[in-house]
Amino acid sequence: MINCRGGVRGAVLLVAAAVSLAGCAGARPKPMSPPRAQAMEHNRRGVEAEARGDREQALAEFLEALRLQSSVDNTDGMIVALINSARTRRLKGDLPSARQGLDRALSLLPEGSDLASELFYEKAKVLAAGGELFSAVQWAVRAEAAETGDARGRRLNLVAALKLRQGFPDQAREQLEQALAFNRKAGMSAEQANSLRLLGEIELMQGSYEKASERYLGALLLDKELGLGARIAADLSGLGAVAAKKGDNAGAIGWYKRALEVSRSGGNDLQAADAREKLAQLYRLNGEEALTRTKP
Amino acid sequence: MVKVGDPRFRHLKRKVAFFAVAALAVVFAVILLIGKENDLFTKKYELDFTVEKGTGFTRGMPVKLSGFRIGRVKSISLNEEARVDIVLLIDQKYQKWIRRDSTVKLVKEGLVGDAIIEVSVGRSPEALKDKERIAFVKTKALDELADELAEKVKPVLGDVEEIISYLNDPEGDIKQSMKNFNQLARNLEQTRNRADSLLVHADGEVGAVSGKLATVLDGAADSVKRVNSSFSTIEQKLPGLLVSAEHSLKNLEKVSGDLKQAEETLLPKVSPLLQKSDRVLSDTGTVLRAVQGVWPISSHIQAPQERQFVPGDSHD
Repeated sequence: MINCRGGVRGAVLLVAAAVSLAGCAGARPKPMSPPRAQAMEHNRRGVEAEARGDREQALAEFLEALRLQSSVDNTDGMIVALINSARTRRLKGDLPSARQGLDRALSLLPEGSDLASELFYEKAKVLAAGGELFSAVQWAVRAEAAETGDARGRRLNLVAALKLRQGFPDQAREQLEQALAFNRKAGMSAEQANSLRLLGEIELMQGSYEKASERYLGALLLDKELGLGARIAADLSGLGAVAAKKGDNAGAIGWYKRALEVSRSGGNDLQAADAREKLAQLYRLNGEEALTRTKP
Repeated sequence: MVKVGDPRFRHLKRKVAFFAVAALAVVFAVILLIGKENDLFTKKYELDFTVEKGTGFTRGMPVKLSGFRIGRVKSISLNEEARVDIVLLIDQKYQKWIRRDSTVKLVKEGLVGDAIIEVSVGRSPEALKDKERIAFVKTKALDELADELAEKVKPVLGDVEEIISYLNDPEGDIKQSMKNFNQLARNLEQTRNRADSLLVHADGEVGAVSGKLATVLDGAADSVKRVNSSFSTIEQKLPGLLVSAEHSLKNLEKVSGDLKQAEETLLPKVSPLLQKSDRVLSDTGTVLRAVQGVWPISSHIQAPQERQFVPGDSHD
């Protein structure tokens, strides 16, 4: 009896273990064709190269990915490669090539594709970089309308930034409030900080200095958590501008000094030059001309 | 009634006779003069010739030889062949100049002068006699000459016109050459000014360069001395260096032989080794892919994403 009971117990344990293991094991993903797998690998390497700042290498990887995706007529893969290469070219300053690549991607885009939003978004960015704000807003709005995922806050941030550049702060604020809500919900801290920074800029324009400080500080907190140097410098410069508007020149100098330090350390020369210019203006206002010629 | 005894009528007959004789003498002298003037009292002979047309010939028109009047046209008449026979009346004393080969021609004395018949002096020893024929040489009339001249001048004028148009053509060689020449002249002036300044500058530079050259030559002499001493040193050390180099070359030759031997031994083994390595890597990949698919490892490996984008931050 004892032996029989022990055998049954063992069998029950064995079945339970098998069932639990079967639950853990999922279906194996469908194997991918070698050209597509290689294209994906090149795309991944391109994204990494761009993150390192090696744009030439990134472009080479994206073009190889495009070639491989074209060789198997994978339209989605081709569009991804084209968007990535256009984005890299835009960041490199080669707007005509970026635009050419995007136009090719638009010609490939199937009806109802979920890549449409990212493609329209990049189109809007390229147009905005070329100063075509009116068209850029139209494409940004289309990108926001086509978005089905978590990036709606990001799309709205772009619409708001463009509206602000066009001189419509109230419309921009409306978009940013929505964007902030979407970004918070989606947990997209970087875009949340972008929304806050833009709101801070609008508050500063409209003379609400306390609210502006609050927005900039919120953005600074998030950017610091993410370690985004360029954004931190932008937040610090915004706080410096608020202090200067309030007449607190000493405070403003402090903020701008920090912004300059962050920009210089991050190798962002343009931001550093901007911060240095602002500092020089403040020193002149304080009657400290000599300090404008020395390194802070 | 007139009285015979009036002293005014004394010797009247004699006086009348005197005046009559004087008048007759004057008339006779005038006749003589006119006859002389018209060669009425000189001995003459006739020569004749025939022309196609009598245009330009008139009776009495002078006949001249070497610019002197020697006779005149006696008669002009139309003959049976509808040609014109002309008879000349020539002074006998000029007969010796008018020979068998002499000719007559109708010419004008000057451009607007009277027409005359000009006789050329012949070279033949035999002079023409009375009533003999003299050869007529047709001369061209002024209008014929003008036409001929015009015909000759026409192509010349055409050429001249062509040349003028060629000269006046703004795109032609001449105009272009003139333009270039003008430009060249202007440039030459500039060049000359530059050359002047260059010469002035060069004058100063030559002095400076000659000074520097002297310094350089002094330096070169020192360098040559140093090179000489270096050569002496090299000359002393060279035999030793050559011996060392020979040793090194022998060693190198030995090493190269060893390498060749090693290559011959090892090279055939490399290709299979690489093939084996490939197979091992491929097998390793297969094993890794199999392991990646095994739970719980698979849950920790991120599946490759086809839609991986470069971050497109709205702040960029």
